[in-house]
Amino acid sequence: MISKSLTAASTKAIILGILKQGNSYGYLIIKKIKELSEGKMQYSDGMLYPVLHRLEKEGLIRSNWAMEKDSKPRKYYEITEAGKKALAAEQEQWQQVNSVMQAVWNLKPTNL
Amino acid sequence: MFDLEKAINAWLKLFRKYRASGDGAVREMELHLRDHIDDLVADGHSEEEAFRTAVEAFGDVSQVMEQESQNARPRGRLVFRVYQGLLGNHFKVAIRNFTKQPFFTFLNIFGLAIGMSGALLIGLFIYDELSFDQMFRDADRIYRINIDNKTSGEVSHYASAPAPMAGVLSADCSQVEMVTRFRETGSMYLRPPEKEQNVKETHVTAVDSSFFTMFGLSLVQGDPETALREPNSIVLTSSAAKRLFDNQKALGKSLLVDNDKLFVVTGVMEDLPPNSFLRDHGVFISLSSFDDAKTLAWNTWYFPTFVKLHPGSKLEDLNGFLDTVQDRYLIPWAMSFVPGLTVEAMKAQAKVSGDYMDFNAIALTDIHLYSSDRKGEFSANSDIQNVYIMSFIGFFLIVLASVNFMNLSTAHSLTRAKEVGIRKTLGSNRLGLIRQFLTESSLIALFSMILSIIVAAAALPIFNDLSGKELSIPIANPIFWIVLVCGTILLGLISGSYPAFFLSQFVPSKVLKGIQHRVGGGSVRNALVVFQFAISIFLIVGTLVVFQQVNFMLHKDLGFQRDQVLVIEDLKAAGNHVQSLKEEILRINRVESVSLSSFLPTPSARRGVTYFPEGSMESGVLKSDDAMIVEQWAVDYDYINTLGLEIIAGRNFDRRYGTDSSAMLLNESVLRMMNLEPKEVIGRRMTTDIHRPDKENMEYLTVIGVVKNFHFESLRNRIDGLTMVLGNHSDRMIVKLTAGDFGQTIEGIGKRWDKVAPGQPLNYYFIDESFNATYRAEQRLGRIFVVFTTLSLCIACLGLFGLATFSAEKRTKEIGIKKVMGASVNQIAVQLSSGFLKLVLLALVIALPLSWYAMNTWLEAFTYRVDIPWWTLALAALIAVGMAIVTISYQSIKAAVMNPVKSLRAE
Repeated sequence: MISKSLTAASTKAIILGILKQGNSYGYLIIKKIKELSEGKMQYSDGMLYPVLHRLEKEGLIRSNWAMEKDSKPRKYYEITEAGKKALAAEQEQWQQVNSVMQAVWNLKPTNL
Repeated sequence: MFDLEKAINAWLKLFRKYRASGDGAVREMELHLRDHIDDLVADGHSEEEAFRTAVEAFGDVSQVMEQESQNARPRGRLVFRVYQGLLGNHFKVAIRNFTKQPFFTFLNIFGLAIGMSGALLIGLFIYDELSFDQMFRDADRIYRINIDNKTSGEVSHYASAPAPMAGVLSADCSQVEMVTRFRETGSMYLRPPEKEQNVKETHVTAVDSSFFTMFGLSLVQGDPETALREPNSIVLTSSAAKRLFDNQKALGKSLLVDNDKLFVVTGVMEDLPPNSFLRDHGVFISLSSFDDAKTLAWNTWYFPTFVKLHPGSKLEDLNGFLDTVQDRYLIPWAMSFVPGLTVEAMKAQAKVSGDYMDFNAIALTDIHLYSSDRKGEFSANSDIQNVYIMSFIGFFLIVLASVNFMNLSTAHSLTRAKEVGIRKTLGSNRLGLIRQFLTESSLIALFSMILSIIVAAAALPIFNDLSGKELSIPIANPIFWIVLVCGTILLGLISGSYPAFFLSQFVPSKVLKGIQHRVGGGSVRNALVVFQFAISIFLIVGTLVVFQQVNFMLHKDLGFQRDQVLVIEDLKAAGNHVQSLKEEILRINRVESVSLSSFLPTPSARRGVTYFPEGSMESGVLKSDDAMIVEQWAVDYDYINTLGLEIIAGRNFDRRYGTDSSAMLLNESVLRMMNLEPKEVIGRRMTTDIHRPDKENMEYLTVIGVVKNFHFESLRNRIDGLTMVLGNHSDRMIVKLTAGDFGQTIEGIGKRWDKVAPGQPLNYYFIDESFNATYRAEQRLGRIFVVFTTLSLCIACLGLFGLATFSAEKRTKEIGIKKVMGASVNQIAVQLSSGFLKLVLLALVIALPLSWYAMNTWLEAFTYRVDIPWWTLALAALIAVGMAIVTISYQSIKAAVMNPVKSLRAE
């Protein structure tokens, strides 16, 4: 199980990453996250929406209400150019964290 | 039995107490829940199970909404918040409302724009008036010396000082840093010596060499320090230089002045700004060119004198010094030729007679607005009263327009009551609603602003013509825009405030159920209509009275002939040929008589002199109680006939009497000063010859006739004392013509003029034109009144039209039923209109007495004035009521003739 704070910290990167694959709406996004994390990331579904709205406000994604035939209206989100840049930055950061972690795990015990 | 819809609705209620950020956030989450439930049901769960699981997975609503509200919270800066408020959701809703109600929006914008463009023009006018003479360096430290004088009951005000005043001030007044004197010179003929054609420069003045330093003026060519130091130096403005030298370099060239003296151009300066007291002046001559510049005589009252005080010095100190000037300098000078005169004797006499001579100072920047009627002003001044009147009109135009807006908005609130109800039900609080309405009103105000700038720009040429100014909209000035936009938004907020608070107080339950069918605030609306019409009526009365007064002045019998009288100016150009020219002109067809005199009953030369009647000398000293300062005009034998003046006692000057060279005529005002009857005065003797040392040989003038009083000054003033003597130096020729086509006659005069004054332009005008020009200020005021009365009436009618439309709409059903019950079109139309007419009548009751009082006060400034006749008030009332009826009746009749079947079926 991944801790709450780590989940929260990674949400931005995850959402942007999912949206880079293609436009999607809230319910599908959260479904996708759950699938990808194999249920290890514990979310309250509702908490996704404030994050989406914040990202939209920051201009990283934009939204659009769409009516499809025979279905409910859905609010689709789409990543913007700024969003793509932010995603690249997030990726780099996580990789840096990862490499630091790698280095840390490989440290041998020493006597100082 | 589990009801999914009920459960979802109950869940949605949890959101109600939170403010959602964007539109549809809650809806989005609801759809999420439904999607989840659908998926779970598809997997085989029961609806109840699915609902529970989905709600659990969704998590705590309060936490989610708390996060949401963090998002919604504006980040930091005010600008961003304003952006949010103005351009966010409120903005969208506002635009939607506007497009839904185009007619109503148009009425609102149009009404506001009319008021704003009027106020904008007035604002420019007032700004210009207040900016006069501010551009000079140290303008706040520069003052002009004035004289207020009363002799023999005659009060006169001068904008100038005696010649020695400047020397005294710079030598003995410690507060004074610098003094500059001007000298009145009038118009002059100028030409480069090699040219034939003279150019007439109407605004020439002589000035001390300190002029440029004093006022901080720089020269385009030449050295400001030395330019006017030497006699016969001349400095031109660029446009004067252009007139005289075309486009050639003027510096160092010679100029022949009045075909007589040679001057050298020692400098060229930029044209003086149109809002300066020197705006008309193009030619500045060194004061040292005039012999009297060095005079020590204190009776030379034609030197406008400006002083610059040291920083920190006060006007009171300067005035304090000026109060001592008479005792310290003037009386000692007078004692030198009036033997036996002492300061004490003068003071005692002044106490008895009430006469005075007072020197005082006025700030340079006050001249334009507070120095209207002084003799020797450089250019025509305005009056602070005009600024007040214009501010009043501008303010009320804005108030009227704003009131209009409030009225229309609240009247229209019924259509928006439902919106308010729904918004409140959906969780809008009152503050949000108020914000929405204020956004709308600010937007309307901004649209109106754009429209008003266009209207003002289009109307500016007409307004300039009206006001006699050269105003332009300062598009490049950021302060103008800041003031304009801030003022507009403020206006929008003020105008929107009442409707906003009014609308936002609707109770949703009542509105939505349809109980609140009646719109309140009716009494406020009615009061506002009364207010609007009261102002319009006031302005109508004002316009009518101003026009009557102007008309009265233009057509009053002035006691002299003013039609078909031609004046030829600048006779000095004809040199020695004046007499022969006169005789030549007399021979031309249609010329009835010709007179030579510089003095006219319209603006022209004036000369005040001091008379002593025979017998005022007591033991070698003249009794100053007997002194009379009155006008003395040099005329000729034909003057009385040419101007159609009337002799009421005695006789006119006559060529047959050789002694008439020492004879005089006087008008009735002089008689009154002397307390004599017309017949008693004939044969009396008076003298002006008081400065000679051998007083026993003073020369006397004998009164031979009395001229009936005629108006030789504006009708604002009383008819002053006037005497006439024979003189032979005159600069004007007065030609009386018989009725008919003057074209040929003037052509004939032109031919004869060219013979005696080749190369000199013939300057002529008809005396009635010049007379009419005297009342330009009043005519201007009248026309300005007309424009703004029309504007305010327009606004008031727009408002009334909107209200009538609304009222007719609201009562469609009632009218339908009445018609079905047998009411006639007339009855209904009258009934619909009468409510509004009552308001207009109430406005009449308020405005008529007020306007009558105010206009009477205005008229008091005129010595000769009209009484306000009853029909003026009646006419104003008729116009107001008439306009109101026309405005209302269209809607009333439209509503009344409507087919009741339609109106009843409509709902």
